[in-house]
Amino acid sequence: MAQNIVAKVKDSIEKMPPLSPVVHKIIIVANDVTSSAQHLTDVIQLDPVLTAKVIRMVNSAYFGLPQEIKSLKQAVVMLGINTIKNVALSSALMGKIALKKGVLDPEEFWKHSIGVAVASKLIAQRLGIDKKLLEEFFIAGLIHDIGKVLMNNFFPDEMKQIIDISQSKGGFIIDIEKNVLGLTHEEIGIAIGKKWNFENNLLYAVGRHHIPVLKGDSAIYSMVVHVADTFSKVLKVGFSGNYVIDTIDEAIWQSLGISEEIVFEALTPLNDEIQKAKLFLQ
Amino acid sequence: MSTLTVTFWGVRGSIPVPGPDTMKYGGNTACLDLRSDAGDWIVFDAGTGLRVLGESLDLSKNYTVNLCISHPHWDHINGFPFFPVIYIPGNTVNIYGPGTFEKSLEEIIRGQMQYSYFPVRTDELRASIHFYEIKNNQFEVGNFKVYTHLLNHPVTCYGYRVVYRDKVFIYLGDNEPYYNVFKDNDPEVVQFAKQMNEQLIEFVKGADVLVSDAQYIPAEYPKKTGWGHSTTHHIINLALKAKVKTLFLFHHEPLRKDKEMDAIVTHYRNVLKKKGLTLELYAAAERESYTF
Repeated sequence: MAQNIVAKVKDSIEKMPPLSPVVHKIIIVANDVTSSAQHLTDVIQLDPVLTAKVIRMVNSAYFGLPQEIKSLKQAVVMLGINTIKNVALSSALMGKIALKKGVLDPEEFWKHSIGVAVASKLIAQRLGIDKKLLEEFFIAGLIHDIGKVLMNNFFPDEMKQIIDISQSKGGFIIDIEKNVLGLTHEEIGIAIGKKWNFENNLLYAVGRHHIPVLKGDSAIYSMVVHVADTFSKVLKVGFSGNYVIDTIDEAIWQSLGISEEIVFEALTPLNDEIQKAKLFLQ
Repeated sequence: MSTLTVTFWGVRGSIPVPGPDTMKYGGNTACLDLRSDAGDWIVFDAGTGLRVLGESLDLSKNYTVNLCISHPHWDHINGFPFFPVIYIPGNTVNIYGPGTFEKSLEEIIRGQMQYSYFPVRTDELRASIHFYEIKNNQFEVGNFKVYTHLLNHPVTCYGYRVVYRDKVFIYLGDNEPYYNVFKDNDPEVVQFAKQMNEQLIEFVKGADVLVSDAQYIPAEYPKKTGWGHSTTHHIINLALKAKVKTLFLFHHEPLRKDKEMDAIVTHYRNVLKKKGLTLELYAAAERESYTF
């Protein structure tokens, strides 16, 4: 039976639509301070859905513009290249955590993902990590639960069972998932990440945010997202179907060289940032 | 008849430039205030001129200061930590201004007072400080009706239109006319830029006084296109199209010497006179007031 479900999950992963290569290009353009207006719009326009999303965001209540923007070029003329770079980046990634209405509340799940994304970036900033890499921490946090998107969208019965057990009996979420589904959301996340050609850093964030890796080049991503995920749960930022909050091992604090107090301090702007992002949903 | 008085406390763009060549117009960065005969008061921008304004106040009294920030570049905010009003209990400072896509207004103002940059943090300020993030909208300050308008600058920047009874005052912080940044003659973009520029004319229309960024002269502009500033030509044309009565050139180029500024004003006054145009033209000078 379990074998059967595992095969079905693997099949679903195979059927996941590929991550648009545009997203990778957007990340490159967004991180390149010398990219031109033309270059930026050329890349965004490769993906018509993304183009539409950027225009929708520019016309959202957040910007409160006096008139409707109808094209990408109008958006660049009006708001400038730097703002559109950041809008495009957020927009491209936001679509990847879209949850079908099912077991998990899409808005709560989205809020949790954004919360972990913002928290990962703030913690990375506090650790003094190179500014150029901060966006990668944001992305790592944003997609850390990508495995749950597949579970929720394709296996709602099993997902409900997992959440019910977590709520009634408690226990480590990945143990419950293993028992019910045969695979954890971390394992599913890694499989999706590999299909999408994620770099190791992101694979570690997706695949090891519950029991972080302490050594190696990508360990920092695994640890930072683990801390961000845990604190987002403590601070009740959204909900991702997990009723049990992990404890952070002393070894992780030592490895990162920070303390609980420092993380709380670094997360002061968290709610403001989330509120800002929420405006895009309107 | 109602009257308004505008006073300039800092008129320079980009960076303070004190020295023998800037004695007449002044070296402090953007700050001006507007007072009505009924006691209404707004301060625009918090460049280093805000310190000079602070010196002019009787600090034994309590104040409610309404500070309208055009945008958060240094030359428009870094006089704030040197504004004595913020350190005195009983005072209130209401800060209006835009956030950016990346940071809120409050984060930006707090950011420049982080411990690495400045010894006093905003949490330690004794006055009561409130932040009001603006969009394209309107709000009221006493008898003043304040309208805002998004301007073209590398960071979110707003212009302010203040209506007081029969008087209209306009302050345009940093602003460059919209243009086709793609330089590809795409008619849609060209038309869009034109339309945005026409909207600004509407916003400015019928002003008694317009104070506007006019950092460059036309000869300097080709090398500075996209930097978010207007030329003297741009702004005089805007004032003429919008039927403005009095124009103050503002946000002077830091390298501009007093003598050069005098020559610019004389040149344009002659042109206006020759064409029989009634626009009154001045270059804003620090510590000078104008009542209308």
